[in-house]
Amino acid sequence: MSMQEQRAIAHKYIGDFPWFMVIWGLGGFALWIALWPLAHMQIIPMWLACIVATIVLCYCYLPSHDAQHGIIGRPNTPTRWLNELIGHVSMLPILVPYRLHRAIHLKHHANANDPERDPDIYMKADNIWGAALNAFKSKQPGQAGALADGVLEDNPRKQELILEALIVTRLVWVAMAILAWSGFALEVLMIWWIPRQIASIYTPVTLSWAPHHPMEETGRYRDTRGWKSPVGTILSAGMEYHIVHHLFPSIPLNKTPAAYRELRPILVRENMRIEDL
Amino acid sequence: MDALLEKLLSWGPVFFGVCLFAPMLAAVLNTYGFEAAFGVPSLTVTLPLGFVWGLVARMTGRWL
Repeated sequence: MSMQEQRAIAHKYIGDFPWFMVIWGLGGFALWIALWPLAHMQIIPMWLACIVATIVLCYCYLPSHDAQHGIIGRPNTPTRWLNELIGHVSMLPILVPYRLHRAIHLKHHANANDPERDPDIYMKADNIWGAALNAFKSKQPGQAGALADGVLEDNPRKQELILEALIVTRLVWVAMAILAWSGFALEVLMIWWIPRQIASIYTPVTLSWAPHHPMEETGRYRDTRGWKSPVGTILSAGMEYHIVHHLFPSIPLNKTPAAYRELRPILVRENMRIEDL
Repeated sequence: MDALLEKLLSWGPVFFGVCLFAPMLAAVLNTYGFEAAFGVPSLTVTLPLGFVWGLVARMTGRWL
């Protein structure tokens, strides 16, 4: 009965075209692109461009995350191209290759908190500083991060996905190098490199570590948590309601709080991890 | 092919040091008047610095 009840509630939040995530995904990328000429022509100061770019890049993973779950357009539907476009472009500034990352992310959903099979387990840490250190370490030369050995062993398209990821990310690196040697080095530093360093810590800490901490338990009702973030819903990227996302990944991010409030009595009954939320 | 790719990718840190870090640091130095004060082109300083940093990162597997 509980599953039927959960599904009935969840379906109220699934299916509408997610305008909010579409505008966020495309608008964020367009804003980031616009910062380059605006800063270069000194229409806005470089420090302001850096702050805006940091905000855009810290949040650019989220629309792509909805695309990874086909929320903007399921396969073989008219909006699938938009789903894939947003999936690719919104994460491009932080150099996360969309299709490879989607394959890895779905492994996380299937094996959340499993010490052997969850690709995000590398983020496990006792506290937020340990998590930030893990995120930093995963970006060191030669580190695989979520693409640990064996994560995609059963995926027949693994090689194709890795090759595509290498091409996409290296093209961006080369494009940035060309810009840097063409008189835009300060823009590369302030609008891309510094914001990307911050986002590459913020994103895994907020999205991988916080909602699954302490990453000890597995199972539908125990592998993630609902918790009251000390920095609020926006600064925690909506991850207080990540519990809803793992139960029903087809609910758009901006609708998870409302879905959570409606689902909460059932979740309490199912002994889900709900901490002060 | 895989071995060649792996070899090429292992030079990523040096690519970063020379192609990105060096011009970015030079731009910062220029912003603060380094070139004017010392009469040395900023890239003369930042290019070897970027190359060495990238090489060290490649050998040790860490940036810091």
